[in-house]
Order: sequence, then C-alpha cells, then structure tokens
Amino acid sequence: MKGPNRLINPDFEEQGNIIINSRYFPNNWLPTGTLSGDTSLGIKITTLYAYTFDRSFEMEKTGSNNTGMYQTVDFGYDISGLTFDIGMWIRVTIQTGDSGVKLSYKWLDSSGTIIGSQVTIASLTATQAYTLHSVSGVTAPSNAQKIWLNITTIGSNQPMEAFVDSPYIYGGNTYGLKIYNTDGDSNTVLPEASSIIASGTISMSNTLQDDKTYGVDIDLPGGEYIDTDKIGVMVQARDFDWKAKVNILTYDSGNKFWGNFFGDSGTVPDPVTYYEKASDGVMTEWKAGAMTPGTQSTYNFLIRVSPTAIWETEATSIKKIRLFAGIDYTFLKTIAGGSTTYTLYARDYGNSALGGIGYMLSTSDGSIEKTGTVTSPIGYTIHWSTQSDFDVYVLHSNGSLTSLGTGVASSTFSDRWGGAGSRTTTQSATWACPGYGSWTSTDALYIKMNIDLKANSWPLGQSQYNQPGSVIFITPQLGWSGLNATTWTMSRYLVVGQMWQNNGVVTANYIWGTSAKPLTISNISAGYSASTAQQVYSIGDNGISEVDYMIYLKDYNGS
Amino acid sequence: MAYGFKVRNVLGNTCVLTPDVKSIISAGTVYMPGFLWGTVGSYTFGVNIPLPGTTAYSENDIGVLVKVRNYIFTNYNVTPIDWGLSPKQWSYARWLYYGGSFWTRNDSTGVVTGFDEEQFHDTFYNCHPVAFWDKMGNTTFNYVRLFASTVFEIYDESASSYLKVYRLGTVTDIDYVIYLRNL
Repeated sequence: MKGPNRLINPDFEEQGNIIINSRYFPNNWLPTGTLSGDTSLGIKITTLYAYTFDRSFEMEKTGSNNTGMYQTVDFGYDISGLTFDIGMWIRVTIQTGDSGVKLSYKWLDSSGTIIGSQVTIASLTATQAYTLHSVSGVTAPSNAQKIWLNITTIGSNQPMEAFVDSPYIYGGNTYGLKIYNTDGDSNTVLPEASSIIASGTISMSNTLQDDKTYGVDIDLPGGEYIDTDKIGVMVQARDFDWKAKVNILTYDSGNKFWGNFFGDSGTVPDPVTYYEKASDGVMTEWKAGAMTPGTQSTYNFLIRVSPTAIWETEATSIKKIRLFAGIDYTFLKTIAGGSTTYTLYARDYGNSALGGIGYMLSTSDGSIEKTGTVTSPIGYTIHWSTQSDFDVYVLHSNGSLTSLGTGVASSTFSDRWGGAGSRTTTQSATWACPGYGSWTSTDALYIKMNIDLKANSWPLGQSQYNQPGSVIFITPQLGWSGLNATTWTMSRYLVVGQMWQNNGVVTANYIWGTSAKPLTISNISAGYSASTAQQVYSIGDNGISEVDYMIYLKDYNGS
Repeated sequence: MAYGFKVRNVLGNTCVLTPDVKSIISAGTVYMPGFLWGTVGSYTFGVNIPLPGTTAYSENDIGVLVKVRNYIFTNYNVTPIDWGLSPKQWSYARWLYYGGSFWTRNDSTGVVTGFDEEQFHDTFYNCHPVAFWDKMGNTTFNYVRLFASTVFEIYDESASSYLKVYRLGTVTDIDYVIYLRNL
C-alpha cells in the first residue's frame, strides 16, 4: 500500500498551536484522556529519542491518569472498500506493573459516528526499542469516511515513559496521475511531490555582496515569500582551486625534499584573499602571516582543506536562495581570547532559532524595509504619544529564555498636531546591559520591542485609547564566549499618522530593515575564545568558481 | 516513445513524464542524531528518512542525493617539530586527539566500531565532511539511512595501514533529496 501519508504533521515538525502543561503538542493532533499535572505529554525535540528526523512525541505517566493523542483523517468522501495501511513506531523506555501504551484506530462515518468497534493494533506493557506496530491492507467498511488513529497510555501503575514517531495512514488513493510502461514500471505524479524549479551551473563571484556576505542569489518563482519547509536545495562544487604557500626544505645534501603548506600573505602568483565567515554570513578579510624566518607566529600551518558548497538561509520564509561556495581552510594560528563590540541590525526576514520565532537580528544592515503597525479604533483622531521599549533575553540552546531586562531603553514620542498628516522620528535611548556571566557559545539574543500608541478622541481629552503592539527579533547562535556589561544604544524608526476626517484613526508604523529606516542596537560587547585554529575561505577564481545546483519546491504553483 | 504524458507551454517547450521519471518524495534539511542505532557490536549511525507505505522498495527504484550543510573540525592536535632548527625549517605533526572518540565503518554493513587512537602516533593527512546513503548491505528499503560525519584520513601507525576514521556528531545538519519510481 503506497502513496502519500494521509496524516497531517506526521513528523511533528509543526508546533505552537497547542500547549499543554507548558509543553508543545504537535499541530493537527489532539489530546485524549484526563489531562493533569501528573501526566506529561508533548513533543520531544531531540534526535536522542527520535526514530526519524529530530523529534518524537513523548508520553510520560507519573500518576494514575492516562492520556494520549489522536488525529482524525477526514477523506471527505466514502472510502468503503478501499484498503489502508496504518501504523506507528513505538519505543517504551520505562514500564511499571500494568502500565503501558495502546495504539488503536476506528472507522467513522461522515458525522463522526463509529462504525463497528475500535481496533487495537498493539497494547504494550514491556520496555522495548523502537518497533513498528501496524496493520496492512485493512478494508474500510460501508459508509466509512474518516479514520481515527490514537496512541494513549494505559494501566494504573506508574512510572511509564514511551516515545512514538513516524505514524502513518497510507492508502485510499483516488487521485494522481500514473504512467506505466509495458514492463509494469510506473511513475505516479502526486501533488505531494516536489518539483525541480531551477537547476544548472552558475559562476561564483570573485567579490563580496554589498552587505559583505558572499554568494549567488537564485530567485524563487513568484513574488511571495516561500516557507523554507517547502524548499530543498542541492549544490556542489564544479570547478575549484586552492592556494597556499609551500615551504620546501632540503636535506641529505640537497638530494631530498619535504614541504609544508602555509597560509599565503600575498606572495604566490595571483595572490589569494582569505575570508573569515561570521555566523550571520558576513565575510571579513584575514591575512596570513608573512613567514618571517625566525618568528614562529608568522607561520600559519595549513592543517586541512576541503571544498564547501551550501545554501544559506537564516529565515523561515524567503524569496531567493543564496548559494555559498568556497574553499574551506583551517590554519594553525594562536588566537588570544578577547572582546569586541558589535552593532546588531533588524532585518526584513524571519529567523527561527532554538524554538523562538522572530525577525532576524544580524551584524550587517539590509536593503529591504519591513513595517509593523498599530492603529487606534475609529474616532480616535489625535496622536497623544507613542511609547516604545525593549525586553531583552538570552535565548538558550534548549529554547529557554533568561531575562536581562524588561521595558528597557524606553522612549516616548509625544508630538501633537492638528489635522491630518504624519510625523517621522528616530527614537533612541540607552540601556545599561548588565552582561551575562553564564553565556555559552550556543546562546542567542532574543529582543522584543514593545509599542504603546495613545490616541485621543475629539474633542480633546474626552477619552483616550491605548493600543499596544510588539515585534520580536532574534539573532542566530552567536558563538560568543561571553556577553559583557556595556551601555547599549537602542534606536527605532517611527512614522505616526493621523487621519482626521470621518472614520479617522491614528496609526503608528515601526519600520526596520534598511540604513534609511533602521532598528539598531549598538555597543554590544561580546567575548570570543582563545583558539589555535583559524578557519577561512577563499572564493571565486581562487576558491570555487562554478557550482552545480538544483532547487526543488513543494506546492509549486507554476509561476 | 509510445507512452508518457506531455505538458506543453505556449512557447512549445515540453516536459514528458514517463515511468522512468522518479518523483521527489522527500527533501529538505535534517539534523543528525546524537546517538547510535543498535547494540554493542552492531552499532550503526545516521538519520532515517521513511519511505511511503510499508512495502519495501527496490534499490533500483530509489535515488538519493545528500550533502553536508554544516560541520565542525575538532579533536586533533597539531604540534611543531623543530629539531632545533629555525621556524621555516619546522615540520608539523597532525595527530588525532587522544580520547577523541573515533570510529571506523564497515562499508558493507554500515556497522561502526570504536577506534583506539594511539597518542602521538596516528597521523592524519586531511579531514573533510562526507554524507551518503548508507545502504548497510540491503537491497530493499522501507527507509533511507543517511550517514554524515567528518572523516579523518590517517595512517594507523600500530597497524601500519591507511584508514578512514570518523568523528561522529561533527556534522550537524544535511540537505537531502530522495526520489522514487513505482510509487
């Protein structure tokens, strides 16, 4: 039995719509049983317990209640006589007494009424590694239109812990285009399949982009942002070159030789430029030592080298694909630890890091504007004030947040004027960041900007309305060794407008993404660790000059 | 060709779908796991991508492309050997880091076995990431196992042999595409 999986979100990648006992429940699935504090269930995001991909669904029983999850697949038409395969991978790690898990399904009619009896696929009361429990080729009874699939804890004893993954309902194919040849081989064209929307060979530039990042951008079809979950990219080096300086030594009266390779400081023909690549893609030139005889620190020994070609995105939805390619070198270099100062820029595209979702905060400025808006109700036509501030958190690799400050760098824009029109302002305020002594290299910054628009009705002072708003910005994992105490300057760009006539309102737009209309946070001081390795790239003709690539897309609309 | 389905646009460009055309049934980016599959003596490594349905697919009906996206280079020692000479005459030893947890891999079965490096003996001459479809000796499949790791190409001094040893867990995520026919 083949074809697409009828279950929605079978890999539990979609989450956020349901939260039970502070845990994410997978979207499109619903809980069963008695929910209480003694029974924990939800998505477990770690490959340690997953059967496929990076997550599984965990059911932990520490009391007498039993809970689980289910999904009903509604075909929308009579499926009687069609056959199906139904199953799920189940792992039981802790089991006590009569406790366990049960996997079952039901046939339902169009109104949701059960047809026949609930069918148990497996009832497990012992620990086990991941095992597939399934039925194959089961036939839907008369009037069946839906299939209900359920996994639940059972028994009265505890503790019990189980993980499930890769549930499926296959079968009932009533659509698709199947093309056979005379040997019986076939190709089924289904809407669930991805389409290759771009492929070929492309040259890599010898220079960086204006924002100091590197790569070639391939436009995606249409003008809309596309969810990266629907995109796949393969890219590989086609033509490459690497450059280092060889130091040849002679011995045995000059009859024999050995060589070591070192980073070149500009002495080889057509000298190479090496670039350090930051976590947000910004490239900074790096100079190898000049190999001064007698001075060890000027010799950067080449430890390893390999070509690298990848697609890059820090966003959850994009309009174009950035292809990056370069020769990846690791040189020996003693790098002392220290601190440096950064400015972070809010960007127009999304960033999903460590379970947080927001707009990107990067160390380079962008060229595309993004606008957020708060608007008063109709009839409130006088701008009284727009107050803004920030909540600043450290976002840890497990998705948790540590607050560094709330409501900080507050600023109030309180221009008032008569009639229609708008005012533009850059509001800037400082905040004494206390630093964070427990910072680790996998941490990120999570910064929420809060807006509070106050609008008055006319005649002035009759009533006032508060309209709050907010927007979240997240950095990638920063790789810093520490976050130091410094005074940050936090700037935001506002455009406030009054529509004065009938049905008038007051609107506050907060805009970010460009140097003309920026949201920036400057004077952030961060530490970096000591190292003995320097990873750099060479690009273009001195690195990878051409790549082959293929881009494929789900739900391609043909544009 | 006597069969197939042709899609044509107004410019006359065409796309012909035939039974030999495979469909992309799974594609994207996936993180590598932090554990081994199996039990002592039969450990394997990688991420499993399920194939549709429960009937196993023939190797000939499956196509897989997989590519490393992010990796780290770690667990090595580099030491200058000066022999009392000036720096420009130094050589450098590239050793596996002692206690670095390296693995060899049986190419036929996919089974990985711990490799006991010898301190200051086992020299590597390069290290790079690899990713591939690990068939583990099978010819039919219900899922596709994707293996990815950095690999050190070394000289095993005690065995007087050249080896590939893997530092599992150093490739964090990979891009892949799986295509099928006879879906």
